[in-house]
Amino acid sequence: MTTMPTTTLAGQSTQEGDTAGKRPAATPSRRRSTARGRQSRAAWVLAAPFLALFLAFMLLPVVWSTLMSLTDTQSADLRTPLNVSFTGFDNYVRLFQDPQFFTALRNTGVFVLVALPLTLAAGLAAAVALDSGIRRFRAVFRVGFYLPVITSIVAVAVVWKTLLEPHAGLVNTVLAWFGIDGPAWLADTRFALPVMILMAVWRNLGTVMIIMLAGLQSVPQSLMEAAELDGAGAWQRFWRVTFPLLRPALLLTAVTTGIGYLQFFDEPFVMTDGGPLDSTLSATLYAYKQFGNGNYGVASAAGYVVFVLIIALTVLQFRVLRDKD
Amino acid sequence: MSTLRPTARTLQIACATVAAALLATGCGRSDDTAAADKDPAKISSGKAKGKLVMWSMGDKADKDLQGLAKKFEQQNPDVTVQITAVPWDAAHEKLTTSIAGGNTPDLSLIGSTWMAEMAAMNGFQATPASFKSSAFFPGQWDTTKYKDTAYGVPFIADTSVIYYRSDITEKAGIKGAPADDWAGYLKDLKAIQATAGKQNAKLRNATQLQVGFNSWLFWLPMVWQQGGDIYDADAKKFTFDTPAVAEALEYYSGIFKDKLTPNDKTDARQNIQNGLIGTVQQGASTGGDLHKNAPELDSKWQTMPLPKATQAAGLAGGSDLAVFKDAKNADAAWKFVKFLTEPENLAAYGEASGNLPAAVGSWSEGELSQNTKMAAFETQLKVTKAPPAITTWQQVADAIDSELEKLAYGKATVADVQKALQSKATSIGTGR
Repeated sequence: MTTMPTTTLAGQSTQEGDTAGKRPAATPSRRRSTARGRQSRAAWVLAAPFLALFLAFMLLPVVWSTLMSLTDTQSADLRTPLNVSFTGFDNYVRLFQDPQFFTALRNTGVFVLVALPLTLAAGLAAAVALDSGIRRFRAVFRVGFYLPVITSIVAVAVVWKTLLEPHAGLVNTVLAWFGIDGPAWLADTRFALPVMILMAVWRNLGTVMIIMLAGLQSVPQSLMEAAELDGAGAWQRFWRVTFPLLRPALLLTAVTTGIGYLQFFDEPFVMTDGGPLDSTLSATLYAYKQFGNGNYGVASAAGYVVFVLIIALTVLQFRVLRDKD
Repeated sequence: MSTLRPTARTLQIACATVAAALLATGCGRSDDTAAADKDPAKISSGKAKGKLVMWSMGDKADKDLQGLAKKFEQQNPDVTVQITAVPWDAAHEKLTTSIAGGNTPDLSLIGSTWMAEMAAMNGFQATPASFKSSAFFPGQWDTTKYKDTAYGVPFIADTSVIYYRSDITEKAGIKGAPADDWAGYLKDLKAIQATAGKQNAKLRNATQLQVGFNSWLFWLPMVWQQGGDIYDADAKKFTFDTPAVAEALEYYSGIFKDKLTPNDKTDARQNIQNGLIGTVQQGASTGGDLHKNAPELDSKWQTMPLPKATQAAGLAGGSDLAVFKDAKNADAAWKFVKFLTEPENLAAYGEASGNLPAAVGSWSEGELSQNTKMAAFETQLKVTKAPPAITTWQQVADAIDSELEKLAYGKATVADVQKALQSKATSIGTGR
């Protein structure tokens, strides 16, 4: 994402270099270089707005937060930055001595490990069902499954919170019809995180479905026919032919959904504030709370731990799902 | 959730840059650069002049403030007041960044629990000597203090009292208000609970205590009511290991153990309106909302001060007016603060906005002096205290919240919680 414009620049200048090389030797080299200079200057001018924004809003904050994660910065130091001392990896040590951070990491881990496979499986199942069975209502279902994805997560969380309200909520009202006394879902340590996993799967399976559906529709019919002639059953055709062809789509959705899930934040932020008893506290919510308490150093360190986890998960997914050819 | 984290490449660049930057600056602490200016600001005589910019939180309150600003402009023809509304959600961040950047307005409303933090950032001017602390409720005045110096003037007071549904308490055989001491109040709660589902068909719980976020607001006064405290300002030590704290924890957890309160985190205001609970501890805005949403209940609820143990106590919240160190028109700003906090003006503002005036004199003005439902607030405000004025308070408060939550869910004993609080608070410290 970030390197795109520089690549374009580099590409332009090599092209320019190539054409310059093919020019007749008679052309004075001075003129040639000024023309090139003028062009590359124009390129820099065109790229400047992006570069300025990138420096100010991407690179500087990254540098700043790295710095903060190695110092004892607190909110009171914003005005007098010279009061900050360099503390090396103290914040990281503090972080790993804090049982609350481990709870946050564990919750995030459970969330990713349960929700990610479920989302991929549900999305794939929905795509296969749409591709083969319910052709007539495909548009309706496609919209139905995709709608939660484009709805604001905050709106979704608020609606779910209302539905799960212990006394007046729809879920417990319906349960009461069958004589079941429903729990206080979001205030119950046994149910709060599972509810959020369910919500995440419901919300994100649409993305997986759309991409898988595109993948399914690009599977050549001839391959399927050939497999059928060779005596492969429906199940074998799926696992031996379709599934391997879907691998790139699966990798894409697994990586993007996985990154999103590791940044698990909005749901607990809106619905439970990490409670009850920290059972829905995520690593990013932990970092957010540390920022709110003015503990900028520890908060930045927590951010970097999440960052490292995201890199690790992504590398792992590439190892497992990359096309073998 | 969709924003991508920085790529590995940017991280590499960042690391290299940081290493260079650290080498270049040497990054050490210099002494005393943050020592806040303790000399009180001076106000000139004569009328206010020039342009004045004020930030204010809350949309309705802002409109009522405009009226007072107009009056101020009439009295001081050479001044123009511009009031900018800032939503409460964004206020803390906006204030800290503007102080850090030296890009502040002239004055602002400041949440009382933020005063210590922002005064420590050297953001405010010390309050001029012409403001007399005796004109304000003592607890409210203390919210302006950081390291024994006042950095603002109390404006909106806030404290919570007990609201009770008289239709529910009467059916439990309680005549008038529930008892005003811990033992009697608990007995009354048990009597109310016994009527749940019977005489009081809709009632689920006798009362509702806050669980989780911000539960410290409700628990801390219980410590003070025992005559104790959680922080010794002279010794700069936390005192969670004292008997008073143990008593307060026992009292708090007992209410959960006896199932007098739910721990399901439902909306207490909604519950009292719907008759699901009988009593609740809330601030002034709850009364305003009850009146607005369910005027038919007006004759069925009343207020009373918090029950006391060895003494009466409550928590001083609300907001203060502060003039920034970098104010361009500090003189006019202080004059406006003076004007706003005059008992008569503050009473008019309180009446219009539904907020409680922090000036003692305002309570004998106009409608406030006649409202029986507000009388409990006045009684309470006389005995309120401010939470410790330390920059790390929010972290300590968070620790209290999470430990109290364990009590509410029956996951820890009072002794565990007391020990955990003392060690957590001590390791958080009181800031530099």
